[in-house]
Amino acid sequence: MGNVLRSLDDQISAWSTYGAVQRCFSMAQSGTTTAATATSGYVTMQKYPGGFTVPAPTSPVTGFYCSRLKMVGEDALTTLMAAYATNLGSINMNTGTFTDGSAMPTRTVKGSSVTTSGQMVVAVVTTAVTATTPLVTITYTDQDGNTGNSAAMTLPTSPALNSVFNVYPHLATGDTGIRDITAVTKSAGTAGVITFYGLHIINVSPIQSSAAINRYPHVARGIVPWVCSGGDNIQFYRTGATTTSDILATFTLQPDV
Amino acid sequence: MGQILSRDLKYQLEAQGKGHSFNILSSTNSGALTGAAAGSGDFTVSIKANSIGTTFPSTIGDILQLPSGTSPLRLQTLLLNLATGSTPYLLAYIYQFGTQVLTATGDQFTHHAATFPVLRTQMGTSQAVPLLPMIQITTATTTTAAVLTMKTAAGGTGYTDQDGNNTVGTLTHTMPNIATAVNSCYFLPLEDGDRGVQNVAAIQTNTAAAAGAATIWGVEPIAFLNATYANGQDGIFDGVFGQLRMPNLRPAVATSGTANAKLVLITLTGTAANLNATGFATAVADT
Repeated sequence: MGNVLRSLDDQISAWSTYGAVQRCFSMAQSGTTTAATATSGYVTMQKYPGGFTVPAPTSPVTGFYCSRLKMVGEDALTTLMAAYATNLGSINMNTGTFTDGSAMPTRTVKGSSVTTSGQMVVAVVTTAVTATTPLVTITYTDQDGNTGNSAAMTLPTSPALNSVFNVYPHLATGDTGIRDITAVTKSAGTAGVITFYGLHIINVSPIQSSAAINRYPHVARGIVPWVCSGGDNIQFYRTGATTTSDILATFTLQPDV
Repeated sequence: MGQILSRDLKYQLEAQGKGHSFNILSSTNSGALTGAAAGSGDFTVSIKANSIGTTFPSTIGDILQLPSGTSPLRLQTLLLNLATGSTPYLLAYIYQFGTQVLTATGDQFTHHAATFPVLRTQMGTSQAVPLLPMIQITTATTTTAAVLTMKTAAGGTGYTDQDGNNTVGTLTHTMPNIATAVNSCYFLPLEDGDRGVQNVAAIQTNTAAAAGAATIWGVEPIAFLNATYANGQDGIFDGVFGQLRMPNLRPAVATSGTANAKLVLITLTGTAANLNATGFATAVADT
């Protein structure tokens, strides 16, 4: 594993022998989203609809490494982010029913198998919510495998579709990560769904001016070199604004053998 | 003892969630400022804090929401969208020394309840942190440009320098304008040879204004960034591949009591209201 990261020769050889996955996306955030507050993540975020599902590799390829990711943003002073997203679960804001998802995956990082946590866990409004400042309490397994810890967030009233709220500022004292969500409760609400995603960040890039492309090459900048698997879902996010916006993204997934 | 022994281990710790990954930041600025002059520190300083939870001048929200705890968090990467060109930025802790009355002359400094110096473990030992003294106008001044000196009216100690020496200041800080805007910040002058202070003990208001008040902070730089030109370049601090220096994102600790410490962006810029910064930071726990 991780041959593509071992040397440039390995990278070129893998590309030449097995090819690469290259995609270009255009996505639109067509509705206004809801700003975060001090009790719901501290930084305003929104999720772009859609994404990309990594195809299943063909042996001997065992996975892919994203060697290049470029994003073009519409608005200055916002930040774009791409991440592998794991659905940790969702809550129906009408019935209060929690539907469990998956735990964060085990991944090989620099030659070692690692039980991962989300680098960020976000609460995404996947169906518009009707609720007055709902208190959402998340029960989770932390970065050390301890169960039963909880994070409590008071969301804004009736957050709009694709609004995103960062869970991590509200973790229990001493916790730094979530491996799994085991339960979610809500104090109010008559409609909507909130889905919780654990993110493994591929690249984050502030956009300096309108229609600028991100200049931050993640490969050599200390970001965890995730090797993804077939079925992994890449999602795109924007921070710092609630307005409608467009994004163009292009990326390359190189085969890992 | 630290556990970050290699870059590979750093990645693995981060993947496990042992740290603080991708804290997305979005700052707010404090509005139009009064530019500095030669007699007021030369640099026009601006505090930028988190856009949510900040109401200037008194309620300052940390620019990064760190996980609770005291174990070191080593800053790996800080990247900012710097929309104002030719602007140095600091990620810094500011510690409140106290407050200053500007409407009466004499000894008008009231120290914060915490006992300074603030301490940080460096190279295995607890050491006093030298800070840059900074004044933040919290009530705009009127009528007269206030003048300050870091000493008592009777000629006693004004500050403790970086080496722990009690120092009677001789240099004056003169507000750059009779109407100095709220939230304007300036560095206070130190005696020749001094480069920081462990504590500010007294500030004499030599010349009073008709209105005005200030908070006195000590600035501890954590990381330096720079925007070369507007809207065109990220400011990047790379503690892994760039400088092999991963500063601790935890605040220094008061000798006794609890310091009022805030993690902010400090910019050195012109007088106009500054555009805000967005970006992200990553850090890994080192226990």
